Amino acid sequence: MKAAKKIFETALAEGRTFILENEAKDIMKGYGIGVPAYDTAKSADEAVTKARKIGYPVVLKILSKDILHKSDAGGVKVNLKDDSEVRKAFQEIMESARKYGSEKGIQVDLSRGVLISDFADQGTEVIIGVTRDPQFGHALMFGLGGIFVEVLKDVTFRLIPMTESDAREMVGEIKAAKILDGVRGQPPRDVDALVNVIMSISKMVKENPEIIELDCNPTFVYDKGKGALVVDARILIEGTKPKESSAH
Amino acid sequence: MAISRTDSTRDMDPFFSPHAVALVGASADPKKLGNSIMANLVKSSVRVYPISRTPGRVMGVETYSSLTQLPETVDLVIVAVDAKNCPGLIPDIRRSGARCAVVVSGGFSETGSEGTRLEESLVRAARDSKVRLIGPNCVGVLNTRLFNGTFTIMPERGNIAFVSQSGALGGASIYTTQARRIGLSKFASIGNAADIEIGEVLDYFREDADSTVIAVYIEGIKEGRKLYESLRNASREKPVVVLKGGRSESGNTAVKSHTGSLAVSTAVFTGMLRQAGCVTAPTLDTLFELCKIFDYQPLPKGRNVCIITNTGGAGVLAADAVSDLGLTMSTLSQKTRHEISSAFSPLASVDNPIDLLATGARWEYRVATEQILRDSSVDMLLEICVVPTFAGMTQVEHAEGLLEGVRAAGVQKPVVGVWLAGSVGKPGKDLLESNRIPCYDDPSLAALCLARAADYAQFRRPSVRDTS
Repeated sequence: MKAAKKIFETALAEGRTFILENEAKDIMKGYGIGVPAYDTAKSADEAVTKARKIGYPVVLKILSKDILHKSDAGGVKVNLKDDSEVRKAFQEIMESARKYGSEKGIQVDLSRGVLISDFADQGTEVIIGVTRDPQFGHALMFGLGGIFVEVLKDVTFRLIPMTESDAREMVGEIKAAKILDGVRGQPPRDVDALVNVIMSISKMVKENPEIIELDCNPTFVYDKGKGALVVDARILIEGTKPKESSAH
Repeated sequence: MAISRTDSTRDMDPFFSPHAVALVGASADPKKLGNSIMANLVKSSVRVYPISRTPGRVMGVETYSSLTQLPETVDLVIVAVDAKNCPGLIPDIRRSGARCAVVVSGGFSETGSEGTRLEESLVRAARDSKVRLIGPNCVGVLNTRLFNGTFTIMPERGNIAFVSQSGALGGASIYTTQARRIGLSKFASIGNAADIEIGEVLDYFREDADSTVIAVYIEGIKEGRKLYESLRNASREKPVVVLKGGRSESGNTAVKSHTGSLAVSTAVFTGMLRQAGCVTAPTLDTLFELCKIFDYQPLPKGRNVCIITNTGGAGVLAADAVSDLGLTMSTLSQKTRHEISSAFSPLASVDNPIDLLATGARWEYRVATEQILRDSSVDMLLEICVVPTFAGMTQVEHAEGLLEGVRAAGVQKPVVGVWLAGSVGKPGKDLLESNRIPCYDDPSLAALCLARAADYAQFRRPSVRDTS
């Protein structure tokens, strides 16, 4: 996908190997992956206009080439319900980012402003990630979010590229797979939509081997027929041109 | 099975099917590896030329001072001399007519930087002379139908091809297969894999008509993607049972995000094996037991298991293991239940597990086996027997009943046995195994083998597998 290449070029030209969240979501959308409605805003006024267009409640996140871990820099505000909350959140985020910069002794670039995103309804939380294994090249990881991945390490891997049956096997073979069938009276989750996200990520990485790490964390999976959304997307790329031998 | 053979595998034929073999370092000294290899070669059906600095004969065979002095061309050279002398031998190996060499000698990259340099010069010399190498630092290769080019014993003849990265473990495993009467077709220990790696041996075994199953012991690997391709291609032709030893060091030190930190190579390796359709063996013990079920029995059509037992307790253990491993206990048809209940004691259980009670003997095992195998709700049969030492029953009659039932049913469904009671059970167990019914000491191992067979059968079913 040409748009992805252009985004990667811009990033490298700015001296960063991480892709800003709006850019990551642009790439995801280009591969047909569902994401909550989003936009960007450079001022509090613009943030309010965009928030109204998306519809409340919304989330604001800092967009800066100097900040990889947005939460650490106080750069994330969630569940904002009206204009005044958005205005206040925008000011606070800029304030925190400046403070974060002065603590680190760097001048944080704030010219890109923030990402405004629809505050997505809670779904079953899963994580889809990509790593580049030193022996096997790109591998895709799948697991349930939260304690399943943090504590129980209940995750499974496949090499990229993969087939749809590989994706279905992954979803079925984690220990917590039953949760996706629907437990405690819940209807089953939309596994088909989840499989589509996995397959799209596999395709994206196959076509863009300069991606060295990727996290869709969290991804929300909704009731059967209601789809899945990648709520937070992070992409890291290689600093120099990928070696021919690196994978496929 | 019509498997087309490729040029690259044909080039490897002399490793496993040589006509004439030269052994460099043949020795009359029983403390030398060159002595053990020579002893195995003279018992083989190939012509052997010992190369030795000592003139005369070794084990009755005239020795030659150099590979260039041989009376005919050879197609395989086995090298068992000091590491430092190995690279210089390569041009002579080529002159002897051989394009294949097995370097058994140790003292290469496994010993440090000097050995690594020696190994590099060995590989360079081999590439220059267009000689392919197995080893160095390995046990060697053998073909149970032709010759033993290793310094370990000749295993029983069979259909399992075995490639091992570890020489010692590979050698030890051969003793295990012999003790358990598991037959091998071919064996290669690849040692340091300086030239030929596991992948190429897998490609060879995939095309080998004498091998129905491939057993693999892997530790570290160099080219992961190539290994994956070879494993996947082989799995599409025949079962590949893999035991992975050691955790490969995670070279991925730059862990920048969540996914990276979870990608310990072992987890990626495990996923890769599943993706390739491999059968994973959790332990050394299970490696060949898994091979056995694939070699002896047909693949199941589904995941439904029926258990026949003469002891309630072992039946419960087996049923637990069956459900733990994601298999399903069959619900028997009304017809089957009726046939069994009218044939047996009213106390016998006609629900799965079928309990034939301690009085169940040859006739009961035969009838139950035949009826159950004919039931379309049953894909696999697990039969348990605690061989009783009372009521005048013979030690093998239960096993005989099982075999008669299998023959009478005449269907292609996997059947495994769990014959308990130690030495009392052994004659029955031996009878079953010699009739190619795998027989285990533990219900959970039997269930594991059935589960892996069902998983592999699912991988091979074309309807659920898209091509990539």
